[in-house]
Amino acid sequence: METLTSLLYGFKITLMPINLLYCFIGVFIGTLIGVLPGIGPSATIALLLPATFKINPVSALIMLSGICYGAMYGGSTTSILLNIPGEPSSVVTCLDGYQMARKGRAGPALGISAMGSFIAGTLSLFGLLFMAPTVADLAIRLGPAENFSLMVMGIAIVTFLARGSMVKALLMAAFGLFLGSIGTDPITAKVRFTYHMRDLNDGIALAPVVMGLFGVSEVLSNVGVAIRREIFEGKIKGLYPNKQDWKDSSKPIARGTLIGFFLGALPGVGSIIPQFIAYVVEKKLSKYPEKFGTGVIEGVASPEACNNSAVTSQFIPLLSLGIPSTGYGALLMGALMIYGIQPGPLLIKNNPDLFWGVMASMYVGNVLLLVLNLPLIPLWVRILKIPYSFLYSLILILCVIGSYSYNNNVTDVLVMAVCSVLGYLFKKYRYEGAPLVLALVLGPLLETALRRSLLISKGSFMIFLTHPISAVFLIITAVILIFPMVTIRRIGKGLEAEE
Amino acid sequence: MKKWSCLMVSIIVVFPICVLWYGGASAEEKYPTRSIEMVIPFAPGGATDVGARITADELAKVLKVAVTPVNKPGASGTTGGAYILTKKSDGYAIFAATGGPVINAPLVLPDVSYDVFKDFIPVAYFASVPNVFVVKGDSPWKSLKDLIDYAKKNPGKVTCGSAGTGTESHINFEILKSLTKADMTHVPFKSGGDVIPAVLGGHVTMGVNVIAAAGPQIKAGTLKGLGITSSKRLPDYPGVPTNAEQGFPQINVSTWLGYLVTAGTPAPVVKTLAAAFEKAIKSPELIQKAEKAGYVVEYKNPQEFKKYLEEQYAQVSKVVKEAGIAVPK
Repeated sequence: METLTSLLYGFKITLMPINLLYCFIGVFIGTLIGVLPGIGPSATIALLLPATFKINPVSALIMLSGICYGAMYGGSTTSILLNIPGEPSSVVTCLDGYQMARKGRAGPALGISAMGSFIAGTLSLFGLLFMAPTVADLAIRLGPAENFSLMVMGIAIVTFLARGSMVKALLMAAFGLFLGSIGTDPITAKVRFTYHMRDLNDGIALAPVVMGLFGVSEVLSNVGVAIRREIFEGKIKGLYPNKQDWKDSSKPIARGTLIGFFLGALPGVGSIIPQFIAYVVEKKLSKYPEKFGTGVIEGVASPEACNNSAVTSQFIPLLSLGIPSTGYGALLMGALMIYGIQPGPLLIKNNPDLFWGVMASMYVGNVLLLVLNLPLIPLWVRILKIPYSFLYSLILILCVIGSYSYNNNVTDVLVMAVCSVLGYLFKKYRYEGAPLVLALVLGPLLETALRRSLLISKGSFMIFLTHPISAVFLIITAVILIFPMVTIRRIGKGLEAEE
Repeated sequence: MKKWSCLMVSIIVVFPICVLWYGGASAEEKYPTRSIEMVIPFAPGGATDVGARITADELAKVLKVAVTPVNKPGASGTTGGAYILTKKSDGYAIFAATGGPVINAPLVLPDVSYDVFKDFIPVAYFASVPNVFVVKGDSPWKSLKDLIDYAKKNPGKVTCGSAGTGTESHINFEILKSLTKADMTHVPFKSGGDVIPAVLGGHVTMGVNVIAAAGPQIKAGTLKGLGITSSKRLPDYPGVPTNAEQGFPQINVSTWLGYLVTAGTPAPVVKTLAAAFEKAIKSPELIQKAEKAGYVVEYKNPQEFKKYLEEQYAQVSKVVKEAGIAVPK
């Protein structure tokens, strides 16, 4: 009851015209930068930060958080239309979203991703209001040992991502793990596999790899193939999801929201790993797992919902513990500190107007985003009608600028270029990019968690079994790995159909 | 509809170009005539970034040109250091330096290509954020001594989280370890932010972090501060004893922030900049903002700053040698 009264108080703050305006500006900029690959919420918040010094902290935070979740709405647009993730975290949406667009179903894909994001954003907001203390408590219980077992579970799902050859998928995962080990050793600070290129000291950044492997390689493999254009242009069927789409997507949206909400709150996990997990869960539960990756709507709905609820739930450790779990989370925290507000256990007590105002603004922001995004769908779909000669130049420009602006570093552009060529070769020889991306995200997390655990346990591997939460994760992993043996026929069928 | 698509497309193309556009260059005698780049060697949102942005904002008011913060994170801050050395020495690029990239990294890491005394000119020292040793709020220890007694009775049981190998927090821990000869294990994390949940969750016994990050938890009682690196107790945290009053005055490495330009910058330019920094750093508005962000503001002029750098260098190099934490080539 108390929560509801406070929430009403929050709405009173949010619905003040000035805050409503900042909320709108935030989600509008968020959508725009979400659509633009490479220019992420971090760069934008950093740019806008000085401008916000002059305005009231509550309005400022309403705007800045609007940028974060607005970017998640926009991020899927280019994934679906052009196979370039607008944000690295939209990479999972590429898998089925782009295939839907190729079948002329870009509209429903965009529609379900906006609606899914809205539903997830709203549900997770209520989760945040009523379960924040529980989730925050859970988040700090996960130490290095638990994190390691969680990552082991994550790596086990690579096997489910495979569509074609399992051997090829595992090879790609191994290559991803290798790429993840490039750079400074997280424990001893020794530099590995960089061949004296100091720009590689921090490892290979994810965004340029994703842009190269998915976006530019698509351009490369289409250059000179003039026939393909008709496939796109011929049949754009329906602009919004139909009844069947809704029937197929409702449960995936609910499951994606749940997965994103709980995993997103864990510090350091981010929103990519939850999305891969959400995608694989759908594939596992589906009656037609073999069709995943060819443009099924569940493959878009679930990760998009997951994405948005993860962004919302990362506000739990940020506001209640003062622990940012992503780069832009860290920026929001920096912003708060400049305003003289200390995020942490006392925030809700000391700054109720800020906490409840921002919470309520997230709901209002989600409504605004839906209103903003649905009418844009027909417009976005028309982008596919732009002649390829223009569209491809546009993709190239976006990817080059995007990968540079990620860290203001030219090396990232080179990494993107190398990855586009690799991506082209991978496509040609039917190796899939998704296992590589998952392994590249997981590898460094897995390694540091393992080595930190062993430092703490003085080298004893028993730490992973004596910690109960960690043991549970490992048991789930074992089940995941044994399960396919039971259902081998179904997956086997899918593999045959593919080859 | 077609017009709309064209408009959208042009916005998409033009927006990032505008974002990346920094003022054009021209030859000049007067300084400054165009915008100044402030290179921040860490990612946006951290303590250094916050401090540097506050200063940049105030400096812009004094110099009446834009001061643009540019984040060049990576490799313990040395990416930013290497980057600014590729710039012209004309005073249009300022390095927001901390002990990490200019003192610790060259001593600890094997491949840092510059020397703070040969390649940089100190312009102004801005402020520091003290580091604090923290344990869980409900743990039995009340001071560093209690914890060390426990560590001596239970060799190898105490683990300490730091913000990473070679960072200020790590060096403070190594000083404590070499002074007391207690058997404790160092567990490096990716950033100071990761240390707090690890201590809260009981995954490591204690942690070292900047007071700005650990402060809210100390105020809420979920963390307990056992010792702080500042010379006096902080007014906001009267319950946290200093290391010096507990008999460890040597554990005093704070995370400081100061401003450097590259060697070869003309003397008049350095003079103008130093005067501008003095005015900016002494402005009450800036001090208020910086204190809110956890900084202890204390202006030092170029000579004092240089002396401070030399002292820090001598102290850190001694610790690095004694503790043997330099990474082999």
